[in-house]
Amino acid sequence: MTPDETKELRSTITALLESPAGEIPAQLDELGWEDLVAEEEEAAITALFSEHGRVLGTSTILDGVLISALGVAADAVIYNAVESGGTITGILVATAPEGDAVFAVPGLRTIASVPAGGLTVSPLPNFDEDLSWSKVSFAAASAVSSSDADWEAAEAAGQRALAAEIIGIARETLRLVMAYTSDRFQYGHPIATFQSVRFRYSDAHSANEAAAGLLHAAFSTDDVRASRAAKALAGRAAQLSAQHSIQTFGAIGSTKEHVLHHYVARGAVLDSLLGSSRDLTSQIGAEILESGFAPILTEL
Amino acid sequence: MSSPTQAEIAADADVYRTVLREWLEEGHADAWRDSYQYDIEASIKNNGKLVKLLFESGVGAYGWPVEAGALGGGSLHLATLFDELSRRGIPIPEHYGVLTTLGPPLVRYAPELAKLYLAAFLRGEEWWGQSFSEPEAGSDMASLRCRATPVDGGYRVNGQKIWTSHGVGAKKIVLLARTGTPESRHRGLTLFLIDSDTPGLEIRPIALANGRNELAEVFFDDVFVPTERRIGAEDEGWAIAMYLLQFERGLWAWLRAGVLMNRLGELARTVEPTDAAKARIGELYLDVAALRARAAETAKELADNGEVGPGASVDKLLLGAAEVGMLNAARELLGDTFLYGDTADRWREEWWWSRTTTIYGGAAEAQRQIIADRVLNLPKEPRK
Ligand SMILES: Cc1cc2nc3c(=O)[nH]c(=O)nc-3n(C[C@H](O)[C@H](O)[C@H](O)COP(=O)(O)OP(=O)(O)OC[C@H]3O[C@@H](n4cnc5c(N)ncnc54)[C@H](O)[C@@H]3O)c2cc1C
Repeated sequence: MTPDETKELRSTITALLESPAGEIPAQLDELGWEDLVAEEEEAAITALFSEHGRVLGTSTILDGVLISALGVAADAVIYNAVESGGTITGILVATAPEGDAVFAVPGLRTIASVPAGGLTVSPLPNFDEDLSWSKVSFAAASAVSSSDADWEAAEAAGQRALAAEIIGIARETLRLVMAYTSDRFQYGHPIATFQSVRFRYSDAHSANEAAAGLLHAAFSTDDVRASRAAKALAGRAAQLSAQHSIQTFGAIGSTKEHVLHHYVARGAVLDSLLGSSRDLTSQIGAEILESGFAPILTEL
Repeated sequence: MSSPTQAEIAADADVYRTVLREWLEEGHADAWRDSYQYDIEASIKNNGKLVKLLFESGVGAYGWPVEAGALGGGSLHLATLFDELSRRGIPIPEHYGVLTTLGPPLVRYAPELAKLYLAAFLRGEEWWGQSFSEPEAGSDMASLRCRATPVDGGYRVNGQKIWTSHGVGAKKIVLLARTGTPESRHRGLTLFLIDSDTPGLEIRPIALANGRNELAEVFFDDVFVPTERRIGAEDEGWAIAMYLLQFERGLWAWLRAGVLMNRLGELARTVEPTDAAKARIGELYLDVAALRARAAETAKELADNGEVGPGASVDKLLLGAAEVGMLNAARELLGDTFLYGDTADRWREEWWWSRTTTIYGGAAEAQRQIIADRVLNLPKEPRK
């Protein structure tokens, strides 16, 4: 994609994300989104998801990525699922369907057909209060494993999308605080002129760009480990941007009235989907300890 | 398929990679695989033989112009060479670090000198030192005072330099000296290529805390340098030093990322797979993988544009974090083995060396300043 085309794509997406969340998947279909992703995955996914992060979007576009990568006719995705005592419990980002429904369940790598009335839906307490995700459960008996779906690849696609969204959030967090401290004076100078403050931003920026660099590498290889690593690093970067932003906003940074908390909370909850930074990091470490080699991933 | 010609290899780093890989797979350089010497002079000498072998067999002669006695190609060829050596577990000879930063400015600003002298360095027969820093001019390099005074046929140099990497045994010194007034800052600096055996020039080793003579101080007492040994014009030194920095920024992080991948594998093979180790090795891997991903883009930027932007300071910060993180992890995870183990001398040596990563080539603080000023465009620090 040429720089001009990328720019055009970004402005199309910015406009599209102004629509109500519920209409966004249909509008993406209209745009011919699946074809675009097939041809230009990196440009399309990073543009859509980083912008979704930046504007604190609440749509179900992540479900879309997983379902289309799996190539199954599922209605929605259930995240962070666990099975216990014959019941599968997880998080539903989409609105709970009324009738019979088919769910993709990445954590357990199954496709579940749940008949009308078979789904128990309850509200989910959420660190991010803007999100109306729900807690759902159903009898595990309805889960049918789909043999030909490539779960690894689908999860990796979801992880890349999430990494892009988390990086979008982290960058916006940093942008907000830098704008604030560049304008706010204390001791006769803008706060952003003080070295200890500037250095925090340089570090946060480096962390964000490290994650973006690894995400670029993840889009350039079929090795799913790169996607895991990119998502893990994005989660870590978002935490650093959040920490430095909260601190250098001063008191206002921890208030309800200020916009910052939305970004901080969103970064945290997105980190939990498809493997948290912490879990993915340990998983990568375990694999390296097992094999005795660090995968190269990036080619020149 | 017939084997590619020299011109084809020089024109395309991917073709070069194939040729180089085949050559390495024939095992020619395997004597150096996993080799390591604590003594740095011995290490440089031993690795010099590898540089020579690579150069004379042809595969190590790309990345440098034909006029300098090499076979052509650009900085991506060098990046490819470092990558392929690391992938085979072969140490990157110390020569290449200084060569990749000093070579390009010499080729560009003093092609005659490059023609006369670079080949011996490329062949691994000698190595050179870079003498910019002074006892009182560290981060603020533009304040340096070592003076080159014009005399008949050349210059007389007086003053002191410090922290010259691999200065002991260096055949030539690339010196940045003051030719302008003391107040001229970066405007009054000039670069020279000086034989280390010139009368009045003395090199004394400085050992890092690990005992390795990694560094040196260089004293100049009325050292005569002929005009032909000036690199570029008088007072053009700062511009050339900035040009030189592009190559350090563009390739060093990449070179180190390859080495760190190997060291991480080595560490993983050495420690017990506890939960703490899993988390720690995973963290480190993210740092090194991100460094490699970023450095690859920067190396390509250098190859495409002939320069890298201030964003390369991000790579430098990531490099510092990865090197320091790696050796901190080794120290923690290896525990007593790190401190007392018979076979842990390399980890102990590298622990000290890794500390310098956030100092040399512009300290981490200087990189943070560059990012704040030139990447993030934050309002400037108040200056008195
Ligand atoms: C292993 C190694 C190899 C080297 N190789 C070479 C070489 O080959 N040739 C050569 O010429 N030089 C070389 N150097 C020198 C290196 O470039 C300098 O050490 C470096 O520029 C820092 O200078 P300094 O050590 O005098 O530290 P100082 O400038 O004295 O700084 C001390 C500390 O203060 C911080 N500091 C300084 N100014 C500021 C500021 N404005 N704001 C915040 N913090 C600040 C620094 O970041 C640093 O942490 C090497 C150094 C090392 C360690």
